[in-house]
Amino acid sequence: MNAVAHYTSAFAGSESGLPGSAVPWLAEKRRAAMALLSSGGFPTTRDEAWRYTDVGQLLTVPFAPAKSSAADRAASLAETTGLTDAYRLVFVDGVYIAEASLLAGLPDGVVVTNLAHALGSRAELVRAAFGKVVDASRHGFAALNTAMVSDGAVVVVPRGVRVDKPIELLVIASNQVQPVGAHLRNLIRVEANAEVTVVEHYLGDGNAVSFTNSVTEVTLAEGAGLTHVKVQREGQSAFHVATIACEQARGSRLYSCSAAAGSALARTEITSALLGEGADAQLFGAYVARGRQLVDHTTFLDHAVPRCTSNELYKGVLGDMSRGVFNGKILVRKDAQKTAAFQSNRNVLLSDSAVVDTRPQLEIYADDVKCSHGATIGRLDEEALFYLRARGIGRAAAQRILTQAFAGEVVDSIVHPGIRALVSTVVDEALTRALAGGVS
Amino acid sequence: MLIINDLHARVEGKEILRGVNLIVKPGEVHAIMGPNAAGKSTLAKVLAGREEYEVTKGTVTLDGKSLLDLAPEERAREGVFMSFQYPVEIPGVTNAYFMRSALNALKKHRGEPEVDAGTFLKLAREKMKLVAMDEKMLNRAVNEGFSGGERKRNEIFQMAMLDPKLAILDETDSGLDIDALRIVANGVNALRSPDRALIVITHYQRLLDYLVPDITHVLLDGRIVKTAGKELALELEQRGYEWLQQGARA
Repeated sequence: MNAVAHYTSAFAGSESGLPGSAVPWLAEKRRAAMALLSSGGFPTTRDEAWRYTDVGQLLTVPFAPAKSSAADRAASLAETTGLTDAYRLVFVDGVYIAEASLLAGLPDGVVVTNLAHALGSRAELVRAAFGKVVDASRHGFAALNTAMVSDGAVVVVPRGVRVDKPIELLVIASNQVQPVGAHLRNLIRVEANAEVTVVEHYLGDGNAVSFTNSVTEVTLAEGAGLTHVKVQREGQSAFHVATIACEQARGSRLYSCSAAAGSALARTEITSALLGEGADAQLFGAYVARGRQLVDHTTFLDHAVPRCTSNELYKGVLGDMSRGVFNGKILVRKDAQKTAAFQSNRNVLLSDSAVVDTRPQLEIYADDVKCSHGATIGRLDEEALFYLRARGIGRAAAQRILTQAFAGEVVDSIVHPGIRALVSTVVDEALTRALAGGVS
Repeated sequence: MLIINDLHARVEGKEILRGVNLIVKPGEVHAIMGPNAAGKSTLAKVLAGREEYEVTKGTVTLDGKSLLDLAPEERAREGVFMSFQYPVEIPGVTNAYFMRSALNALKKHRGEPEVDAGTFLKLAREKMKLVAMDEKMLNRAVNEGFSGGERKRNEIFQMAMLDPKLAILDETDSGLDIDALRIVANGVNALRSPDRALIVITHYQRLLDYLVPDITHVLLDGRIVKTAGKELALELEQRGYEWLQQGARA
């Protein structure tokens, strides 16, 4: 059975049990998305944005919603692996686990809840936000997410409020026997001059074959600020497709950092539309892969109006036969004068068989702009390696020091010490594994 | 301590060292002089274990142990230190982290406990004084944005930290003005000891005014063609290498 047929039948079988099945607009959206998927199918390497990322293997596995809940371990996992001193929503195999979540003490007016609940309690808000930034027509995975969404996070920060602690969305793929697919939809709305930090933390509990397909829609009102950190550390048999899309009003600030520690396939798509003057987007990413893993970062920044700024820095370390993909597109529209947009993608290959496909693209229709992009692919600096070794540091340790320093530029861009420490640990562990090599 | 016997080495198929013989005893300071392309830096790099240089013949032993079979890090742990002619910049790695990692690698090799941050800092501060280095340099990335003089001082600081048996200073005077030269030379002099041997590789005499050798060698076309006391350096300064070149070829 091909993937579209598999998901069509999975949808037919589970539709009545999905959250919001009695909410007409959502039921309608789900069916329309399923129809889109049926006609359009999943992306292939013939699609520009997926040219280097073949999802064929992912589509051969009959992923299905979890039948049983593996919630029992959630609380202890959250305790040991989650951020300390953060608000937290925990999802296991696409299902919200209230017992493991921490929401006490949120500032007045701040909404942090799960989508299934918000469909009842915040019906209008969800209806207005769902599908506003990411339409089901974006690609097959967005359509599948829309049709099959089981839950997700809803975060609303009212005007002028600064949320005192990060909000962590801990998304766990448990060690299920059947391959589980989880489709989460997160809705984040930051109102005027409000500020919040959201961490999407994807974790694998064991090495089961799993599929996480998440969509995060973000709207930043005037002067709003969002720090968004995504940590992807699912197991080596995990498939992961994440779509994060943002719309930014005047003077709003987006800081995004994506750390990917290596899975069978992990694709993170981050886009932002800079729709109000003076909006700023800072995108950072660090990725490490080994064996035959593939890690993809695809970004799109749409400079639609004058005087917006953006900066991107993505750095990758690829070992064994792994592949790294970077697709970075910057569009500067005709009216977007005085745009400043910079993009850099740098890669270190640890082996002769590792591959990087990097494609920076600038499309500029305004004439008074400052834009640049660059990409590098290289090996670890032999001179530097020798220098360290000549002082008694072993080869493996020297490689670790150099790769950590390389990725450190991205890690150090994270301001919050606890989040920085988490990302640093995840990246360092991934580097150690990649340098040891040999995992298929 | 160090015995080099009939050492031949080549790089990219070209033979650079063509039978070097040298014996260095503890406490001695040997100067190795010679014109450009004589093989001076090659000798230093071969001793430190740079892999691009292929040893085709000969032996090198340190206290009876063959060095040529050892990886660069193993040589360092056995007590070999080379001060680089061109110290390498390592962005993102602080001097402190670098030196503490190196020191602990040595400690581990010797079966000694590793040093903690506090002990390291105390030791580093003390050693930095030898070359009048600012303590702030510890938190800067290794050699990044350092001036020529700062880089060479950093090399001698590293030498002081790692306390080697044998230090090879490769063109440590290159790129230094006279004040920096004096600071570096004073630092090295302070590290002279009866247990430590020094090989000072230099093109010019001026470093040897401050760092006075016990023995001076001339390396020419990959061989040591003349060995004498410290006065040889002065003679070379006055007469150049031409007269030796003619003699060597005859």
